[in-house]
Amino acid sequence: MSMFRAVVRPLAPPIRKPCAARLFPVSRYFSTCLEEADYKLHPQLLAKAQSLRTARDKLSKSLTDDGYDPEKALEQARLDGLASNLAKYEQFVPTLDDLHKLSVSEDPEAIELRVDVLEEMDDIKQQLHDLTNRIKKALVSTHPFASYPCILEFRPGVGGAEAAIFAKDLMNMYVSYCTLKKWRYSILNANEISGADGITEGLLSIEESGAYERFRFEGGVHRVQRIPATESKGRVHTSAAAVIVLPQLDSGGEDSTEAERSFAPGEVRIDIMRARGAGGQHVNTTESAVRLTHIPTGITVSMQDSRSQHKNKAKAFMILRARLAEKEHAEKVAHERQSRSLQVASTDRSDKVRTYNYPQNRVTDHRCGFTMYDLDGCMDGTSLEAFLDRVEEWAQEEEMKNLEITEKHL
Amino acid sequence: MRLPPTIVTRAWRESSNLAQLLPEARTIASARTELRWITEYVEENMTDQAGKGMKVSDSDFQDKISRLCYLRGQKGVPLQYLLGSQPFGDSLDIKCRRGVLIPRWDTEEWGIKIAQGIRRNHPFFTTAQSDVDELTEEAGTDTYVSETETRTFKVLDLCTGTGCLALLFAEQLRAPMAKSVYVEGVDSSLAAIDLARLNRAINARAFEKYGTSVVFTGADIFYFDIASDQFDIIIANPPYVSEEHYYSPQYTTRSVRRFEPKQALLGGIEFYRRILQLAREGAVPAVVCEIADQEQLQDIVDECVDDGWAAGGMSDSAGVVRTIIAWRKELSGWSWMKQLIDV
Repeated sequence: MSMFRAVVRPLAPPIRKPCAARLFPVSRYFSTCLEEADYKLHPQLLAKAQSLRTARDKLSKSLTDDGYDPEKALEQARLDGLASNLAKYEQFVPTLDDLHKLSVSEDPEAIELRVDVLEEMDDIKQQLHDLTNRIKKALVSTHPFASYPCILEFRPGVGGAEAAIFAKDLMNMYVSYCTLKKWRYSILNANEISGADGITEGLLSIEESGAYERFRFEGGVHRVQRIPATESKGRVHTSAAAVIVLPQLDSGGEDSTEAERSFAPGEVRIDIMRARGAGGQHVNTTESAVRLTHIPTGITVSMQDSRSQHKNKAKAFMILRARLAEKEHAEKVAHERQSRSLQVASTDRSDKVRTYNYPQNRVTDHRCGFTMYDLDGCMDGTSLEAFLDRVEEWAQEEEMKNLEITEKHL
Repeated sequence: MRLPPTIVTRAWRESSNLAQLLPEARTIASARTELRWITEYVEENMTDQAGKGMKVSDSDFQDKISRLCYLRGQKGVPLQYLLGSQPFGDSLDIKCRRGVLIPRWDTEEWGIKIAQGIRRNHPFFTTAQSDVDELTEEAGTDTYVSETETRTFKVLDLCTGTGCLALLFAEQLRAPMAKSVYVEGVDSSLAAIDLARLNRAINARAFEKYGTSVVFTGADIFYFDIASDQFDIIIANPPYVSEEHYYSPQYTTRSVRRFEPKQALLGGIEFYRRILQLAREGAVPAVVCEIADQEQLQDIVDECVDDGWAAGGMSDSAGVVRTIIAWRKELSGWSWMKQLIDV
């Protein structure tokens, strides 16, 4: 982190509030809540956390009574963390109140101890701050696909061949990131354009559970500003490529017919490149492309990467499933948002998520306002991590704000 | 048919390798995909060589690619012979050599369909051994005896060639606990049996863990018999191209005629007659064979399928009738095959 200059751009000019600033120097930029809210939970959030704890107790009782169920056990493990944090929280709050009383009392003994008391209060406040954050994080509903591996889809946007080249650069960026992280990945499909080192479509599968959660906010339009390799007059062009993040629901390995079976017969039309004439032993075609059309939604997937038609079909079904799941989820989220009629910034694919500016050696994320002057490091995956962290942080804050607003409206 | 000159010029403009591939690939897009596969293969090969300490220069690399493109496009050598293999099924890698028929996607498709059907519907795979034992105890000895006795599901693959179908069934049919699957492949060509054994060794990992065993035997199907109640199903991809179709470029492509063994292609109803005869003599309850077209299906059904058998055809995804499915009516456990029949 120290190798390059990182600039945090606040969304609004910081308002200097001396007391809050001294205690929590970072949060003054982002947090919109009251100072007390930094270390104390909103009463309604507290009630929600407590109700979740009782749910956990019931769950663990049913686990011992009704026998083991992996889904329940997973849910319990998730709530365990929340429960232990909540227990600590409940323990700290009265202590803090006692200390506060002690610090303001005029008793000579207490005055003598005041310095120690204040120090301890600071300490506890810091711990409470961490605890509340953790509890809030647990309260924010986890994404249903969070634990899944993911598929990243790359598509060039405006900008012709240059956009295709950039789409490939982006794909390479994520590939190097995965290599650095030692995550298993495979390029499912890459339709290369002729004449330049670019792609018209790229599919990268990252077989690491939880990869979806990590890359969730990478989806959107990535903009590039540079002098393209195809440019002869040395002008800077702006082009764009879209990244789509899909959950990978099937492994695509051992039993490749799994994904196909989840569709009703007749729901998907399978088109293959027809062999000329009689087929069978008469011809030996290498044409293995497969195109699937999901009739109810009109989504099409074509795949021609492997020499085996069967494998192409299996991959295509995997992608179709992923697309449908993502679509369903997006619709659900949109519906929920509408029904709550909240005016909060959307956390999913907003337009233009990031800009890669080559002449300035700069990468800026437009959602969290994070800028880094280390473009090469970003493109070879080494400092992409910082972006992923920042965006995740930002998204969490957004969700927490969202949560608080919801609670207030109740 | 002649290639349109516009396509040829476009291919030349892109790269000479692409243009070389064009006569066989016919379209720019498929030439491009073939070029990609060839490049990938050469790259892999070169890294292997470099790993062994051999010197590999860039010009060697380019030469090798253009040589393969020339052989593929101008001479019409099948890509599988040039690259040495064809992926098959979920994880099989079938080696291909001159003199042995290359596995087709049609065969792969119906093989998977049938194998998956068996796995999902046949009582051998759907009932756990403990259930069967219980039922036997309840019902005495008569009804389930045959199933408790045969704890091995046996598949006979005739005219196996590279062994692709036999290995596909070995891969797809996973026996439940305390049971096993046995697949026997038979071919009259020694070259084919050698290759099939090599393929078994290469792909053993795909089926060994389920206790499946595969055996390849060299024998001419017209000169052997099978004992009664030995096998549960016969599968076959016998030679079925008629003389007339073989010499007509409309049906059989130049590349197939030039490079693939005539022995594995030229044939007809005599094979099906023999296969069904074997099934009758060996009391095999089900037979699935690849066929050429609707006409052949009709001939086989008329001539070789007698009373006591139900038969029908199944089309492939190109819409051509590709398989004949036949099973003995009186035996339970195979009537589900009706769902697969569409002709």
